[in-house]
Amino acid sequence: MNKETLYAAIKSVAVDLCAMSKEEFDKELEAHRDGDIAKLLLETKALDVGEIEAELFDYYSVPYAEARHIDLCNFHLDSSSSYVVGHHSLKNLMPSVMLSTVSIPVRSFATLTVGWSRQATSVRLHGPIQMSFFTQGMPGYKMTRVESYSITRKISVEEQESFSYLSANKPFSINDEQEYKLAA
Amino acid sequence: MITIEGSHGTSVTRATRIQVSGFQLGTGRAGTGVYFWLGPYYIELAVGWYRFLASKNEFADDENPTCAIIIVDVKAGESEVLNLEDEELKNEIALVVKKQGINPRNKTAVAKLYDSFIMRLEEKFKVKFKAIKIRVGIPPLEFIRDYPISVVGAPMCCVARDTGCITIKSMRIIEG
Repeated sequence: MNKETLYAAIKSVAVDLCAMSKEEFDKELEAHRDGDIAKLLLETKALDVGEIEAELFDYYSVPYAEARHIDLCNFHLDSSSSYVVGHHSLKNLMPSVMLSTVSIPVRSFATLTVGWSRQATSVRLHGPIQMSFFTQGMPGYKMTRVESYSITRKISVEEQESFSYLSANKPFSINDEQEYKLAA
Repeated sequence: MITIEGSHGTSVTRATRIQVSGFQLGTGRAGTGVYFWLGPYYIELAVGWYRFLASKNEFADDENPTCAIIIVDVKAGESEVLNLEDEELKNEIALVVKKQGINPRNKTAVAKLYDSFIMRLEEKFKVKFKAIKIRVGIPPLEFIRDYPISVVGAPMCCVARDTGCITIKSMRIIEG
């Protein structure tokens, strides 16, 4: 049996459980009160892992000065399109997060808000920037969008031959329309 | 067939017994199964777990309570190993949580749902999962100071539910 069969079975189980009435579902859960998997999850604190890892969001309380040196250099500029694409590291800011892809329409100015969790990393988009991340060394964790975010940066794009260099300057709020207009 | 290398921390007395008689499936608080740490820090995790248990006098009555780490291979067919961290699986369980209105913070209810889900999955998939891979909490940090949780996240462990799939490879004694 292969993964496809497994995933089909997983979906089928989910459909069955979703289709249960509340009464049936409550009975179903009660029947599994002392199940091995239930014990395993509770006793190993497996269900607490997400919360424990979420504590790493203390990154968000890091003073700005400690987190300002984002270096997103060496973006390859694809001259055939209006996007720059590259593979870059945000190690100095978020040690376990790798920026895997980024596509940025070539403009002189854009803003983004970056956030991450142990299970997911995403960006909130302000302006024409798209990014995706993966957590380094954690193959089970996939790119998923989340709404958590904390770091807002002004990103300026400077073209130099076939590369573009991005650098973080100072805090920037998308609400600051005046600054946005000036920069743009 | 896939092979998963893991570690198990215990006392020398118990490790010696295991080497002779093999692992026994206990029915302890964490359910039936034998637990093995996985990944590049599996030795450190096994030692950390041993130290944690030792701090609770778990091995105080053992003839030789010194730390021993047993390295094993867990071998099973690909369809007999379930990875509870699988994204598809988690997404579908999350769907049930949402549809049935389970409070995600109600861990007992979530645990019971997982139990129900896996049992039903075994029925549908017509297989008995001999091993389950799952991300678990690390031993308390005072017992494993160098574990780089910010890099690798919470550790993976493998719960062998069938001792027939466990092969003991070696044993290391850790002094001090």
